[in-house]
Amino acid sequence: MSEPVIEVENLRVWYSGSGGPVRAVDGVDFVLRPGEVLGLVGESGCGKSTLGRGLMGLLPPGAAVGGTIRFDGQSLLEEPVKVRNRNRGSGIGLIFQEPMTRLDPLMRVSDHFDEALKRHEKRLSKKEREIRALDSLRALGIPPTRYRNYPHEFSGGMRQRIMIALALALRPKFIIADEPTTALDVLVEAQILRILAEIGEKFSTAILLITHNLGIIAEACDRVAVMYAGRIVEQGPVRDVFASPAHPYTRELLRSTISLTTKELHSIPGAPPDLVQPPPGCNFHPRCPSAMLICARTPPPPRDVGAQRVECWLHETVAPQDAQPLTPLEVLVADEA
Amino acid sequence: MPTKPEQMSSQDAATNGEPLIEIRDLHVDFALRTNAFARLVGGSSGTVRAVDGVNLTLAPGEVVGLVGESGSGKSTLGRAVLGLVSPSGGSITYRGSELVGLPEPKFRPLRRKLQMIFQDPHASLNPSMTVGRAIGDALRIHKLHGGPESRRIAVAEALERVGLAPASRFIDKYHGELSGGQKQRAVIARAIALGPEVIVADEPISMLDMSVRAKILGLLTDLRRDLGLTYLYITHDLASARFFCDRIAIMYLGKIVEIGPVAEIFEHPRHPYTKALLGAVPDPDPTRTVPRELPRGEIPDASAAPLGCSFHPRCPVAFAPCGWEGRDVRMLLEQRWTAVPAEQYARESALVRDGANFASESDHGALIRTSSPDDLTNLLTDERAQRPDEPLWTGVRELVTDHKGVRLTLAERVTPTLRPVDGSEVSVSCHLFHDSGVAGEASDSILPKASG
Repeated sequence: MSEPVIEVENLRVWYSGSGGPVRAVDGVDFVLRPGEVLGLVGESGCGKSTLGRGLMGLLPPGAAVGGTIRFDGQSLLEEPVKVRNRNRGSGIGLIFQEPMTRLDPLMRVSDHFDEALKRHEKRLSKKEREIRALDSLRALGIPPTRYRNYPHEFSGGMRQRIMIALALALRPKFIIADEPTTALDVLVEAQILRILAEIGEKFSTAILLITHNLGIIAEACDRVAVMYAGRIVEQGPVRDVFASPAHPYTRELLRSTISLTTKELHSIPGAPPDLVQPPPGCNFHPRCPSAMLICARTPPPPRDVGAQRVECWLHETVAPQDAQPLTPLEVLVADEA
Repeated sequence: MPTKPEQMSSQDAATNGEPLIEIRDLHVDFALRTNAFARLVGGSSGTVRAVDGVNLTLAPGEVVGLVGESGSGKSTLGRAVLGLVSPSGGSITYRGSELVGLPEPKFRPLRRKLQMIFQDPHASLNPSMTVGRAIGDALRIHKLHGGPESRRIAVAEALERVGLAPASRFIDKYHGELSGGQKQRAVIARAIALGPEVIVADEPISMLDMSVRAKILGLLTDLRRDLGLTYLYITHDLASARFFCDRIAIMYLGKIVEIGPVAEIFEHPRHPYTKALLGAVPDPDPTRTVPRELPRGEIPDASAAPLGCSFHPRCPVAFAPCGWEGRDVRMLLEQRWTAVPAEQYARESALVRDGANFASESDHGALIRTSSPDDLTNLLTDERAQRPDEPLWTGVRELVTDHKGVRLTLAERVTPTLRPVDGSEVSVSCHLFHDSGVAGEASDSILPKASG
């Protein structure tokens, strides 16, 4: 197997909050290899976007970061700001959620490319920059005739393609795509997802695709990481995780997704926990239908189950007195998210 | 109206099938803004046909889904039902009384019966009002439940009905103190507090988290059962529409292209656009890795809609009568140029400099102006040889080199209309299902690439 592009170990991102630190990302591990697409899925507030921004070094002041991020032989968190800035774009690319607002309306598409390439690839001549930009746009199906147009002259899907082309023009080894299709229509979404899946193969770029939509994960990713309340509770190959989810949260999330085959609605009782004072033990235990006594006391250790890595007591040997079912607290309908 | 009123829930059959809402040939046009100079010199401003001749009925107790991409006119249609946009033609009747052109003072009493749930729960409650006030105001405006005390009781009832119980916990909360799902519940409470008959729900769950969507959709289903509500459910999410609706209308560029019972639409989609939409729904089943044919491009600019069937430029099975025009040749060339080397692009694009007036149209053809007609003819012939399956070529009758440029003779354009399909309850607007009526284009051209 090829060397990992990025290795994340015990990454923590805490924000300062009025009631104490908000543990937005609280001990996350994952590895990405060239050409691999990892889907990071979770509900709003689970810390998935914070994780993406933490990797880019784009956190607001007041955020504390701990753990290790190894990228391309460097330990990112220990590098000086200058090195991190240099990496951003050329080493790690970012594709944002809203293509409508991320391009400068006063700059032509050509200027966007020129600026990014000038900043990161100082040796390229003007002509070379244009060739690089046009190649990148062409790969994403933007006709060269539109190179000098302004962003408003493009539709939402075209703008997202331009954003992706802009990220690709710098040839990063790793791209973070944060909900890249949320603002787009179904057909355009499908086009963009296909493009992202192809990028992995064509340019052997590793991609972290952040989304809340399990359907998108199934369509575009090789592996999936399910995030709940700041932790990755399960990760593994998409097929394995979707066919036999090892964590009760993954299972419940899959069941509550409305798909074309949904005959009956299902939902997870309760709401995600407060990240200032997360519950003791496993973060999911107050909502978990399979919770045991031990789940409310001690956080479960990570464990490999086949190709999946999961944090759940169901996969551990638990003493009989600890394995008694936990009586769930009554949840009012109104308290559900 | 080609569709039959059916699929009513049993308790409503008593109203002998009289439609609650009937929309006939509805048109909503928006004028495009032009700059001050153009207005001075009398430059004509274009119009966008947001809704372009729609017929639709809502039977009592029925849930009709309006499905389409952004820009398809589905929200505009929903707003027109509530009188929030003024139609430029056609009629909407509610229990037999005309709504189009009704002055606001006369419309207002009807709004009690016609309510709306908006997409964004974070933006549809006033942040400076408590939940109780937001819902109570609606009751006050409609002069229901006279005094503040009885109003408060009615508000509490509405809150408990949507699951915000005990109401005392929520009635004095501000919008900022509620979660996304709770806000949407409050919005629904506001809509049902007035005792409406019809609810226009515009993407009510699309802004919510996956695990909350099922809860809100379940609530809407319960309310339908308990209160006998009729819904116009506007969405781009086919999965929730399949679960929630009785009938579905698929919209594209202001027109309904296919309408019918939900089971029929999902099991036997007919219109190529419906097929494409269904194929594009991301499905959480990784074993389903069918290679899909995605339509190219995006929903076109409604101010310059394609001629003929407006889906033809993107349609993988379009054929001769679908409405080919000069613009389609330009799209074809732009597509070609994304795949050729830079030098070839420079050489070929020099042939057709004038992007804006790419082709001048006449009834049966288009003229592509160029200074070197022979080179352009060679280019087009080469393109045709490389991709003979391109649907555009089915509509090109002749390609002649002229001294001004290249003249294309195109097949006669026929705009498809929404018509019932024999032996089903579905109506489709597509030439594949109805004889286009042009000589030499018999309905056997159902095989897409048969003609040439």
